[in-house]
Amino acid sequence: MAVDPSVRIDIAAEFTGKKAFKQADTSTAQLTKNVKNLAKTFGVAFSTAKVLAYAKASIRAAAADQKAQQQLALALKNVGLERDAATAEGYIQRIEKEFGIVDDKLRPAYVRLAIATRNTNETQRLMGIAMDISANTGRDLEAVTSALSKAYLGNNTTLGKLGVGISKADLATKSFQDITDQLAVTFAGAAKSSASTFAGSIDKLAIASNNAKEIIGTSLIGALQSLGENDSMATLSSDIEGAAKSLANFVDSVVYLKEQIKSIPGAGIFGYLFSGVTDLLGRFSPQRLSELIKAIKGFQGMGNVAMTGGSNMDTQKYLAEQKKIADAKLKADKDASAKKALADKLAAAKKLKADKEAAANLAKLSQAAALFDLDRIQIEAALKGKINEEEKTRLLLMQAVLEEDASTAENLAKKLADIQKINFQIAADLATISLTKDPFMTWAGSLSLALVELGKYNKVLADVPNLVPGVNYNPKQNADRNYDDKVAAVTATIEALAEADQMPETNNIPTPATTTNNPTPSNDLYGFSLPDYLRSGMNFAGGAYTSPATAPAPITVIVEGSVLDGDDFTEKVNMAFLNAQRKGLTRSPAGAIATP
Amino acid sequence: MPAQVKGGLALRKALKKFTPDLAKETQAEMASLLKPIATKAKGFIPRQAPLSGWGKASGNGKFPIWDGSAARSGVGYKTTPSKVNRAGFRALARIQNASASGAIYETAGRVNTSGREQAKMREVVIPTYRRDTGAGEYRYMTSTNKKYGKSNNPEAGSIFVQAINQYGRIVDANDQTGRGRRSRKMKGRAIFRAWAEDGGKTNAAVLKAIEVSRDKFNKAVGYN
Repeated sequence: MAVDPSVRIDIAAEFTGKKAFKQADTSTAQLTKNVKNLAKTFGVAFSTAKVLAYAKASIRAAAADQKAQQQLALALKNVGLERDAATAEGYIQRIEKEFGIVDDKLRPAYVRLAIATRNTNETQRLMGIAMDISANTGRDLEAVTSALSKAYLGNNTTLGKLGVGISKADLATKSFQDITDQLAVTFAGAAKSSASTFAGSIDKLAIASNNAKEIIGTSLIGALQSLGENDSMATLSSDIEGAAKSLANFVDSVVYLKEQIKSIPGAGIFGYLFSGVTDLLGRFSPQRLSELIKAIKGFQGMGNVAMTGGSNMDTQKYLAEQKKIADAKLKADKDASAKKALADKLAAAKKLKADKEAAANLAKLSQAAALFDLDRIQIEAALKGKINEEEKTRLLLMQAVLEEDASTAENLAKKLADIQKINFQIAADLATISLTKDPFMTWAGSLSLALVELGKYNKVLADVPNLVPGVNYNPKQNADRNYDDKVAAVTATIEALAEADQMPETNNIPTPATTTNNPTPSNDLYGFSLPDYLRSGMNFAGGAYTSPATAPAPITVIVEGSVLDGDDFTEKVNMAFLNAQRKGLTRSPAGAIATP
Repeated sequence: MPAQVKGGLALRKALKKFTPDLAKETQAEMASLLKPIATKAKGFIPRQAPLSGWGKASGNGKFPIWDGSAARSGVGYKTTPSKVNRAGFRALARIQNASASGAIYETAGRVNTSGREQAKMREVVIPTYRRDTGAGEYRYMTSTNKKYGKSNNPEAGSIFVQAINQYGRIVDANDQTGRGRRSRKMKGRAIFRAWAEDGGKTNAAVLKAIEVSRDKFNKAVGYN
């Protein structure tokens, strides 16, 4: 079973050469075709044969057309329609062009209907119906007209066999007029529709080509008859070949003349001759043309023909003098142009050199002048000093402005703006900080007072015997350790001291619930803490605390500028404090509210 | 285009004439190389019908009925020279998918990935005439162009290819590179897929086997 090559994988194939023959054939055919095309391009090799063939075909077509016209006229004459022969021919020509149906088909059909009807109007009506039926059904026009003509004469059989939608009953009962009216309605516009299609257009084109061929053929027949001086067509065939050969000679002559004229010096002068005698060349042979060329060449060889009148020698002298003058002028112009170009070049080089020197001098002077520019000197000196970033940026910006360095100046200006913005923000923050109250302001004095008060109790505690260091007071252990007496002794001592120092009332003094030899009292369980204890040395009036007279007043410090570190801050505060003291200023601002 | 050899046919004739044993040995060697490819290709063909209705007898009987066993057994190899093809080549060996249904499975969708285009239908108008209704016409659509599909289902081709694609995609076995148009004739689901997956090793081995047999023949007859 043969396997489809499309589902096969060939392995290790070997070329056996069958295709080589085919390729050789193809190549040969291609070569032949190319040679033909080449010959067509040159228009020489095949012109004779083509012209001859076309002339023959044209004459044949014209003769056939004349024959058909004569037959139509004769047929019409025989049926008594002689006077309508011209009308019929015109009708056929119009139908041919309009519907693209060749007259060779139209004339027999028309004759057949005319013979049957013997009426021009009826014939043309039936021709219209027949063309519509033919276009629609695809049947030959001759067959349709034959059926219609038979039906007109009473034989409907052929018409029924056309298959045009007419039943046998209709054919049997209806008149021919009714039947044809029905057909006219059924196939209305079919021929026109068919002619408007692409195929119809091609048919029309073919008809136009055939008509052109017939027209040419008719003219050729007349021309050949006149050439042969013979009204008969007997010698026509030989005359056709003679005419074609003359035409071929004409083509050859044109090509030959073209080549020869190219070789003639000053051929342009004789160009008008070529155009003038072109029509005459058709009857010339190459031999006669070569004689003409020789004559033309001989004429040129005699030479020295003055085109503007006067003698030949005068013309030559005049031309020579004119040429000499023109050459001299051209040379002078060239020299002048060269000199001018050289001078321009030198001037340009000189100017360029001078500009360079001027630029170099200017640069040197600017460098020297910079040594005495006080502004620059100051800026340079300032930059070498101890300055902050903002000052440095300002100085660099000034320097850039002086040096007219726009890009650097722009960058520095932007940088300076940023720095100023940051400094402004810092100043605003510091101003806000300075307005807040310092919680450690009074700590130093308070602690000093507390130490004084504690010093009093230290002595009392030191006098208490058998106090165990590191052991806190515990009421549950009092009995064991016999602390009651010791506490009572301490209490008595404190009361004695209170009386002596006029301390506040005992009720107002918080009783130390915790005693310890630990230097730092703790905030423990009994609600007595060091701040409360320290506050005992302060003034209480009805539980409200008031600042003692000896308590230091709060100082509000407003620092202008930047503070670098703690020492700087302390220094500035001290300076402010000393200034305030020296000037006798109050310690609190006017309208300040004392807060606990 | 398979790898071209020169003198392969002459060598085969010479082998058969002068060293029949070597000829058989060469054939066997080539067969042993091609058999794995064919076996692998058989594995790419499903046993059941890719479309359920394909395995049933159709009404008109023109379309081949799917037969998984026949499709598998249709895949094979030949080590005898083929006939001359249209281009004038004869292949010394080949792998083929010989069954009708196997060939359809191999190539469906190779030309038109979405199935064959639906036929361009043409309207036919026949004028009619009835006494009671007068002139009329009878119209119907037809197509006689074999280039197009004529199924009543316009998606039939696409559905068919899609169903087969679920069992195996079309693989291009043409590994040539460079300029020029590639032929679609080296694309398929079974033998071409197996050939593509082989990557040219078998092809090289077959050529090598031919060269080896040539050398053996030359040695046997005393050419070198």
